[in-house]
Order: sequence, then C-alpha cells, then structure tokens
Amino acid sequence: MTTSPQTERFLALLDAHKGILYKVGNGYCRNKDDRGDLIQDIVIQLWRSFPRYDPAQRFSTWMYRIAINVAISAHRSEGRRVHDTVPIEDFGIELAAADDAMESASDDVRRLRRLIGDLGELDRALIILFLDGHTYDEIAEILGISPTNASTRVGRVKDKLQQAWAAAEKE
Amino acid sequence: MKLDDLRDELRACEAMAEAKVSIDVTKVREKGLRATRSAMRRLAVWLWLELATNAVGVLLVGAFLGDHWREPRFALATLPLHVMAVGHVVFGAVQLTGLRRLDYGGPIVSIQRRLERLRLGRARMTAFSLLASPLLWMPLLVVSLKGLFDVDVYATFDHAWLVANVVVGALFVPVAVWGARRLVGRFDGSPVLERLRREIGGRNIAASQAFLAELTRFDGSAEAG
Repeated sequence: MTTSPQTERFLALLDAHKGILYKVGNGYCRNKDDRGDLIQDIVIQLWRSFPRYDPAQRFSTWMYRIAINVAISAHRSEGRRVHDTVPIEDFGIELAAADDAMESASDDVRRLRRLIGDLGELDRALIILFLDGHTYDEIAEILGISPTNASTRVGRVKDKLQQAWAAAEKE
Repeated sequence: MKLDDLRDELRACEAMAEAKVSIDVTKVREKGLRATRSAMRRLAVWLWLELATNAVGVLLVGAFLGDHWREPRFALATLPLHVMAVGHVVFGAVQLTGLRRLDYGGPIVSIQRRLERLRLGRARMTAFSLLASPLLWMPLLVVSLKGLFDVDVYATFDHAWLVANVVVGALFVPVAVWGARRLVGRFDGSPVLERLRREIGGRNIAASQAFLAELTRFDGSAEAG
C-alpha cells in the first residue's frame, strides 16, 4: 500500500478539485461507461504527472490542462484504446448522487449541455472553461493561446451555440 | 437563448452536482493508484516489447545479410527487409521517446499538436507497412527458407511462379487502396477490418492532418483574421 506524503498530498488535491473530473468527464462523454473510463484515465495521468507539478502554478489550471488533454486524446484515439479500466465505483469515485442532482436541471440547461456535446474537441474545451467562470486570461493560459484569441474564439463558439439553439427550436 | 443567463444556471446546477461527487480516498489509494501503476507498466512493457522484437528482427536479418552479401540474389532480397526492420526500430524509438517526453500538464494546443504529430507518424508507418507487406512477401520467403531450412527458393521454385508472386504483390497495392476507399461502411460490424480499411485507405492519416490544420487555425487565425 502506498502511504507516502506525496500520495497523501495528491489525494487531498484530487479530492478538493474533484468537480473538474466530473465537468470534463461529462463534457467529453455522453455514455456513462465511457465517462467512467475517461475519469480513470485522467486520474492515472494526473498521478503519473504529479512529480512534475510545480506548486507555484495553480493546481486547478494544471489539472484542467491534464484532464482536457487526456479527454481530447481519448476522444481522438477512440477505437484504438485498450479498455483495461474497472467500474468507476470500484476505482473509488462515486458519481451517482451527482448524476441525480444533474437530473434536476431545467430543460434549457439540458439542451445547452447536449449542444456543447456536439461541438468539436477544442471548442468544447473553450466553452467548458468559459462556462465554469474562467477569465479569458485563464482560458488562454490553460489552452496556450493569447487572451485576445481566447476572447475571439469564445465569441465564435457562443455564436455557434446560439445558431444551433435556434435551429433546434425550429425543429 | 441567452447564453450568459444559462451560464449562471448551468454553473449553479453543476456546482450542486459536483459537491455530490464522492471520492473514497482509501479506495483510490489502495486500488486506483495500484491499478494505475500496473496499467502504466503494461503499456510500457508492450511498447518496449515491440521495440525489442523489431530489434531482434534487425539482428537476424542483418546476420543473414552479413552471411550472404556476396550472393546478389540473396542480398537483394534481404536489403528491403533490413531497411524495413531498421526503419521500424528507429520509428519505435522516436515514438517512445516522444511519448516519454510529453508533459500532459502543458498547454493544451501545444500538447495536442505534439500528440497528433506522433499519431500521424504512426498512421503513416502503419499504412506504409500494410501496403509494403505484399511486396515484401517474396523477399521474406527467400530469406526465411534459406535462413531456416537452407532451401534456395530460386533453385526450388519455377521462375514464372516467383515473378507472378511479385507482380500480384505489386498489383495488390493499388487494388487494396482503391477497395479501402470504396468500401465505406461495409465493415462496421468488425472493428478489426474497419480499422484495417481506415489504415490502408489513408483515413487515419487524413484525420490527423485535418486535426493538425484545425489546431493551427485555432492557434492563430483569430488574431490574423
């Protein structure tokens, strides 16, 4: 059993930022089994990269980068991946109560989440960060683009969502 | 839709849900991280095993070439096999090094670009290997029969049969590419065949190139435009 201070620190930070796992998992997967696999992949990569984490950087920024990098990679490698994960509950992460809470979301919020799920991988990353309340500077830092670019891109994605919303209402 | 209004509603809803995500720290420590280490070990072992197998291939083919380099009929058959084997070793080492150096904690656009370049390299190498294999079948037969059983294929088999094999192998390449591009949707029930079709037809190469172009646009076009 691993009980090093580094492990304990990692687990404490993971627990404090568990919302990011849920947010990115839902942002990139519609199917609950896939989401469980993705969240495990993210935790695996976080743990693997943890020795390189610089405490001068905000943990949430670092965690978002890893989570979204893993999510996009998993999405792009679908069909070539080896699924050797266990059910997410056996991994130690319980999502059922959170899913129940999300069930109470309004129809508009559900529709917005569906439309976000139809966006491309990069646009989805942008909008997940924007909707989570990040500033353009923070979005730019996580994505590795300029703040001006981040602001322009968010504007374009918002336009895309507005159009998709209007199209869905006409149907 | 007013996205900014919905943003507040979505954030409130997600905050409520995220507070209910529970992490059993003991379980993650005892099961999750242990499984993590074994999954990582399996992946690393697999990549190293592939590299080692290719390296053994280089040694075996190289040894055969060393023994027969004065006999052009064997040396010429061995050369493409040796080039292919060396190419696979170099390619495997470059991929392994690229993956080991990758820091997923880096900026998303730059990490995705590096990952996609590795993916593009793999797609190109796989397509090349698959398409080259019908052409390499005859040299492989010449080398393996001589190396393993001391049988000289040129003396044992009819020359017309040997030439026919090479010609059929050469014709197979354009037919395979044509077929892979035409038979879209025919192998949906078989993931292996569908993957083979995508690899041979260049679909994975095209998908990687498209994503790299998208990353370039994402990175700079907004400022340029």
